[in-house]
Amino acid sequence: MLHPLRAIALTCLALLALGEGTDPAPQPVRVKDVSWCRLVDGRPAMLVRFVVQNEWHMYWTNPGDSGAPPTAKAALPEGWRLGGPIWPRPRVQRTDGETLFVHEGEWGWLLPLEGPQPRAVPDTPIELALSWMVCKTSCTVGKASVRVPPPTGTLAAPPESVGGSPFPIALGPDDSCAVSRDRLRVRCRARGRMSASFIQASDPGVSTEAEGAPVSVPVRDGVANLDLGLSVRPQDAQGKELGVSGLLLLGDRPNDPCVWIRRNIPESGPATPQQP
Amino acid sequence: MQNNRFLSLLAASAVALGAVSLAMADMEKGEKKEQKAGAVEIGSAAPEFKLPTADGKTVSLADFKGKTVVIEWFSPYCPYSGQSGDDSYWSTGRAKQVIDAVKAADASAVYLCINSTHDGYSGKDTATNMKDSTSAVASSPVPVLMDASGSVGHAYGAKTTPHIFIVDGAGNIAYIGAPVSKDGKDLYAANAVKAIKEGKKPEPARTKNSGCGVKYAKKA
Repeated sequence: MLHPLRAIALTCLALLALGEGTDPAPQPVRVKDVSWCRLVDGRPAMLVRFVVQNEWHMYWTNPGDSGAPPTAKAALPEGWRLGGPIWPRPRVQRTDGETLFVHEGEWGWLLPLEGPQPRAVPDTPIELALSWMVCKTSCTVGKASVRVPPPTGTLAAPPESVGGSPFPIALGPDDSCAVSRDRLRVRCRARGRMSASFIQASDPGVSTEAEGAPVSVPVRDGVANLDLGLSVRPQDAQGKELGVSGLLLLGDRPNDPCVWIRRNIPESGPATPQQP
Repeated sequence: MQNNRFLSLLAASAVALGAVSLAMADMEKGEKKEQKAGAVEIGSAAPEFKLPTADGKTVSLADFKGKTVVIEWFSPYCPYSGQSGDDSYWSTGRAKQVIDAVKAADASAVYLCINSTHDGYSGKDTATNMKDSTSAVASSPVPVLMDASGSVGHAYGAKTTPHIFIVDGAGNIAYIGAPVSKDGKDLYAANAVKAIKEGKKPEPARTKNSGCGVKYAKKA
């Protein structure tokens, strides 16, 4: 005869075992919701909130050594198109052989819309098709279709961060950025952080050492000074405008601020200072 | 009493399942630690290799001296490579499209797959890995070369599946990157073979590859 407590424990274990056999495996990624906001430049944007299961990760626009970023397609009214996504600060995941730029836990992805007139908003629902790669030790892919109702009322600014991962801020009036055919130079207030690094986004035809791993950026007197060599191969640009882009990561913590840098590369000539 | 036995059996199964899951989790954590890849560059000499195919032959790069060779890093367990699904290079027909275009550009060009997945990945033994590799490309004549030690993958610096390296007739690396553009419109690998055939340098010679990380064996 079993002791009652032992019987209860065994029953619980048995139910767990039965449960494992009957429930479908939980998906490592779910789309929590999609909401509207308005960016500083006036464009409306859809904020997609992903929730990634513990130990799994999705990828930044440049995934690093392996992986693939999520994609979005939208059925939009005439005259509208999706702008380039705005990516939050990724985490840098290093293993013995790989450096990856990843998003974990809950994170937000901003999808700007560009319409026929500035500040216009769509007035019909949008069918948004999302797909993604998600990996742990192995990888799988997922998809979601979301019907996003048109926005109503005044659109608020996007949150500064989702799930602790901040969206990038722009260079300030005291900051500077200059680009030439072979160098990118940025001076940016470190906003109280003692360290900084730079990671390059995906720029066809332009390689830097920040493409596969963060490059350390010296911080002196409260200012981060990025001086990055560029290797430019116009023949590899795949018809796109030659440019260099990436995130200046201020501080080491995942919730520290980051600054988005994007500059077109001049056809020739010396470095030209550009306004932030 | 029979119910008690049933419950005890289920409980024992649950405990065993738990133990196996923990063991698998530990193994997977170990698998995530991969070796630092070496790398070839555009214009550098392609590393020689001699590897067994999934159907029992042996293939070396030297067998194709003077020919353009397209080498695709491949995994039957990656949803971007040989696993079935909407994103799979092989099951969506994109691989066939590229291979056909490669052959149209240069009938003498050779297309090979190399699988550098280590034996034991996700519990797959050597035989299963080979069988799965063969069945994933069954509809094509492309041989799959098995590189379970990862030595060839590391020599080339293969990082993802798929990841393409094209070797020209002189034995030098002429293209590194993705097989096709993200929208599938540009067949980079086939365009590169066409350029080589015409005596030109491929443009682009380098594109951003994406996909699953190659599941290399840990260094001893």
